[in-house]
Amino acid sequence: MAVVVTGIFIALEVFRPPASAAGEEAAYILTAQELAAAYAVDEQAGNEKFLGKILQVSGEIHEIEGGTPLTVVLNGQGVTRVRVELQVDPNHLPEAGSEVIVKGSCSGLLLDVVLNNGAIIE
Amino acid sequence: MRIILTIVILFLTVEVNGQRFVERSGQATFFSEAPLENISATNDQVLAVTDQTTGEVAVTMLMKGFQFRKALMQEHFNESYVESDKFPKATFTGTLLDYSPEKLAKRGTIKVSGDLTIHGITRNLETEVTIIPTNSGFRAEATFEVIVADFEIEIPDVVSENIARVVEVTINLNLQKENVE
Repeated sequence: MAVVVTGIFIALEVFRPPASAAGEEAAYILTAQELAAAYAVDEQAGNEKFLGKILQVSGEIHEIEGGTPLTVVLNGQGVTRVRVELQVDPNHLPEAGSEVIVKGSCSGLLLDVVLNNGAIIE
Repeated sequence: MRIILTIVILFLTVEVNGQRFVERSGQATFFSEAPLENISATNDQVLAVTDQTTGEVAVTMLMKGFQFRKALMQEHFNESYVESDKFPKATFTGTLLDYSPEKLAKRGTIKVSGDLTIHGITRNLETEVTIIPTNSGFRAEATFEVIVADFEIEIPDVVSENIARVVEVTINLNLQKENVE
């Protein structure tokens, strides 16, 4: 019995697909402006604090980019925005200009700060 | 650090005369063929800039942007192999060879040569790029092989049957001309 249970556990772990950040506890809760500003000031310090962490970010939608994955772009600070790649397409897609709260795993800074495995919380 | 600076400088200096092509969410994929299992991953977090005048190219991607079918693979890739917390980006800076701006306006192939940095290690890379003109710029596609050991990425013996020593990397960019005032 123990062997079967162990086998099932290992199989579930090995074949586990990447999960959305929606159900994960956020390491930091902050605004898109605060996140963008932190990276704009010092990328290395931004990485040390946020890289790989689950972030809950609130902000105004700049635009939504179609395609796969669907990407919500939040206004940040200056030219640095926050891009959230959604893991699962939401039932209802908010419009540009509206305020949202998102969660995602921070993968660092390109021109914008990027969050993976994202989800719209509200 | 020097390469990151090059990308930033290219992005900023090209902006002065408005002759750059930019891709903000390009795609990189890698494919590893091994006896036990083929592994592939896709990354949509790729930034690329090309200077239309000089043919200089800069590409940077976030290593945590690689998405695998299995979460465990993704965790091993980031934590054990590429150490993405320590080396969050891979970069390429180079030049299109025998370049003239007209070559970006017609379908064909062009060679690019430059420095590829992965896992903090820099190696020269020369490969062919397929150019496909579009209404707003051009698409660039390139496929090349990366020898894992060249970038000091260690593969533990216990999983050596699962992971190839050479992985195939494919880059797809849709570069669009940016109109700068």
